[in-house]
Amino acid sequence: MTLIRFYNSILEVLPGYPGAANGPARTLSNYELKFALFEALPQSYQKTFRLAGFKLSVESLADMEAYFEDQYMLDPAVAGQQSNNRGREQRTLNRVTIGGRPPFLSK
Amino acid sequence: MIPFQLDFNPKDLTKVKYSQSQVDNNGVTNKTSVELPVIPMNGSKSMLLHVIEKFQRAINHMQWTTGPTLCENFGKQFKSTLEWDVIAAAHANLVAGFQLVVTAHIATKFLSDAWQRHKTMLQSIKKPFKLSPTERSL
Repeated sequence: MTLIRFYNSILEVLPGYPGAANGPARTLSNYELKFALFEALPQSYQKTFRLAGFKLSVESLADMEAYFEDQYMLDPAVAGQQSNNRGREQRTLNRVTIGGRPPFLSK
Repeated sequence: MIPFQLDFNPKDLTKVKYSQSQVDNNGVTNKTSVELPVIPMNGSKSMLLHVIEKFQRAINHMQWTTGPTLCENFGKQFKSTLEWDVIAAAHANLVAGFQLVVTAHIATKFLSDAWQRHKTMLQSIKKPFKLSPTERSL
């Protein structure tokens, strides 16, 4: 358990919680914890943190692109026979080439 | 206000071990054990919170459900039980009673607006430059 999670968990037992029924959440949410962690970093580290986050987003985007490539740019006749673990070269070979454009853009 | 870096090393605290074995419907015996730290004489507020946090997790792990069991075991987490005995004497019968006892005990150690102060501190905390990721773990 990290210190910050420990300090968050003890909020449940400290006196002075203002809302019994409709008050604020007793402990910080995961989002608030992440924000607190980010804010706790020196500014120079925050930049690195942002870059790391951005890189992760870009990688996820690349995964999404590959997925859409599979879904929309494969030859439908071949798509059903494809295994999930084929290489990128294989996917490229099986693309539909209607005027060199994906099906939803052709016409 | 509790300092961000704890004023003690959790590994230095002496521990009490609880063990129990249960036989399930298939006749298999399951042993469960947990070690909980003991608050020394004149222990700090951080120690108290650390022990309470560990104890709350142990409640689910060990499936302690009755007030007397909870109160008795929690009393063992103190090197000096005198203070605890005085507070616990009035509420020893229900699980809810145990929570009330813990709340009452904490209230004697902290200010009445401790929750708000602590939350504000948590949201505006700055990581000390020399604090390594390992030290941030408990």
